[in-house]
Amino acid sequence: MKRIIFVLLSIALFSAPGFARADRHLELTLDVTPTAVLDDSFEFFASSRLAMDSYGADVRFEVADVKDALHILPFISYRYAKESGYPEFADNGAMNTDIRVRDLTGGVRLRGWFLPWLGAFGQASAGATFIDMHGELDQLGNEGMKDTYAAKKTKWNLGASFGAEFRISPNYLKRKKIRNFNVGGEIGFGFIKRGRTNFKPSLSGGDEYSIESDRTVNFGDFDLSGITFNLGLTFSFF
Amino acid sequence: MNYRYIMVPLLCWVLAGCETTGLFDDGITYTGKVQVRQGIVMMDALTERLDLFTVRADSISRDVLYAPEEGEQIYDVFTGPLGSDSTTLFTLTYPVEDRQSDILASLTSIVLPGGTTARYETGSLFGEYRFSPDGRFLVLYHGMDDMSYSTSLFNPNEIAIIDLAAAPSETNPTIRSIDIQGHTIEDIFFLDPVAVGAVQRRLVAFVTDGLIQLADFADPDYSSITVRLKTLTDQRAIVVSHMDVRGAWGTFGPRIFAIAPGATEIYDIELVDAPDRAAGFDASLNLLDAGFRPDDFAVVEDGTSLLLVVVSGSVSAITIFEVDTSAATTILTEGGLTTLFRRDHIGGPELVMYGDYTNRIYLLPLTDIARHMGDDLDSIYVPDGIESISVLDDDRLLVHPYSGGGIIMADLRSRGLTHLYYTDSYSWGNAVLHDDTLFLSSESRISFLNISAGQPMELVLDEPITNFYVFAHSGVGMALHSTPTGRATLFPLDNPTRQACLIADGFYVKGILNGEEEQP
Repeated sequence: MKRIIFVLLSIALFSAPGFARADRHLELTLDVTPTAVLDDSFEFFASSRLAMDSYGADVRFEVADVKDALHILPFISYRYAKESGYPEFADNGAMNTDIRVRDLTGGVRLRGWFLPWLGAFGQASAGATFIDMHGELDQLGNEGMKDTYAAKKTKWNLGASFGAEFRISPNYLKRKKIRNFNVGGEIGFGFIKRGRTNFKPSLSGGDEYSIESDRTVNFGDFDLSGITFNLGLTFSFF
Repeated sequence: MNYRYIMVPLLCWVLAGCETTGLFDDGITYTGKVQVRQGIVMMDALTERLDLFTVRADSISRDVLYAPEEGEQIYDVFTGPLGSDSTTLFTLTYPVEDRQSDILASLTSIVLPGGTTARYETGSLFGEYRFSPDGRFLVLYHGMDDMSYSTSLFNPNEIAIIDLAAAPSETNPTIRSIDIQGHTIEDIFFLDPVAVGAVQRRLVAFVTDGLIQLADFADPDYSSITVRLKTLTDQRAIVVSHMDVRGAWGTFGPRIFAIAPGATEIYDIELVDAPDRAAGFDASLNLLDAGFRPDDFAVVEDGTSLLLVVVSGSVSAITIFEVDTSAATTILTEGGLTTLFRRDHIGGPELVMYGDYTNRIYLLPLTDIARHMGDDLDSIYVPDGIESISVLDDDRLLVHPYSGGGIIMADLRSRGLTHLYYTDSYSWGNAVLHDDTLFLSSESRISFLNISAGQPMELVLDEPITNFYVFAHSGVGMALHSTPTGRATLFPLDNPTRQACLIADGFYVKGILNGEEEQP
């Protein structure tokens, strides 16, 4: 994961000098990104609704602009989501499940400001998704009973989104003699495509006397792709 | 255009996500576990699909075996005369909706493991069935409860005869009504083939109160005769419980012997050749009054003598009748005996006899019995008493003593007893003998006893056991647990140790995320 971050930052920083002169600044956006997952099987990990609430941050650096109208900002992004479920798939029991999804992506945003305080953006991204899946049987049993299922997967992701951005008018800040800082927000819609994954967990639990089991059962495949909605609070520096 | 009416619902929808579809709310429920040679067949209660769980030494796999056609539902699932070693499964189906006139009640045979099916349309939903001992014929008939399933005219004497060796056709199954004068069929006996005159006949007895209908299954028309066991004014309930057929012997012609719990008579039904009759044979009835109500009997041929050895729970005696003279010899016993079976061994054939709540297992040698008439009766004394007995094989019985606290292995060869004591609650009625090892299961333990060495051992598992199976064909034992994902402990029968155990997990949920249509 550290290598991926290093590569993405390098792309953002080293690509900057190669472009036309730009109003270089760094942006940090704090986001909440609900995702409506399209695969019904996700219900296994999220009993209440087919959605993941992701939280995270984006780091963007403006590297160039085209005639001061279209701004180019490479970025890296991190999102974290955790959902829990309680599939009652058997008459004699159920399972407490949870899934944790971490997205690490990099991409490019194109932005234009129609008004000093209002703009629009479109962006594309690609990266990796790290998935942790767990299940614990909700059943009373002997101490030796193995009751925990766990699996980890790493998949690719591709994303695209568009939306509107807001900021305090630079002219206003200039009049107030505030330099190298702005604050704004964004609202956007998009789609994220994640590589199809499966839940093929190992079995653990019990105690030191339990019969060992290295067999795994494949619960099946599911897809975490979905429609995204993004709300962000952006701080601009320099 | 006011975009608010688009954006607000869209925002709400995206923020809230979609409502769940309830994919995992119905529950996986498997019912009706039927053991076959390859493993266990269970019915998915939601879809009424039959799944075969194949048990191997290192895994359990699940395959869809059979699903009823659209508009049908499954009434019953059963195996043939081989029981748990069967490789053919049978299912009775009937239409979901009475208005589906193009769907008939049917019997479907399913050959394992491939699932090849043969469908025999019977028309009526029969609640009872009987296989011939060789598994060739299956007779479907109506039991006492069937009338509640019928929505129109109902004929309790209707039967369906299916020749399982032949393909389904217009004449297979054969639907007919047997003449038992409106009574309900109480039982069906498939008798051994017997020659009546020059014709080899394969008789099947349909039993009801006071009547037996004998049908010849060697006849393509299943011709039959009726034998009345009591007069019309006789108020006793006489339903035959045991039957035995004997071919011609010395001066005795072919005959059938039968007893009924409600009668003190032994019924001697002599079969005669009768070409002038439609069935080609006839029967004449002779009554032998035992003086008590017999519970079981055996027919013994010795020299020129034909004898009946009869036991009854109401008398503390074994009674030997000479068929030709009706003379009886009585041998007193301690307590009434209710069950007997013949055992052939190196020392010669003998009858093994016992009764519930008695203290002895009796053994009557049959060699030269006409001369000694039971003088050489032997017995095994069971100090703790007999509450009930399971027959493991010809040489060994499992006795459940009424004093409680254990079980007793009775070895008929050595006339010895092995006492086994335990404190846990074993389901000893399901004890299984495999080679020289007796397996018993309790809540979370499998106990096994090497009969030869007399050494009991235990296999303690990590979870409670709901069902225990022995698959002799593959040499695998399986303890099924209640884990909702589907879990079983597998072990080799020749090495039932924890080190050799293997946990097979998740065979109920394999592929569950792929959706119903994608499950294996």
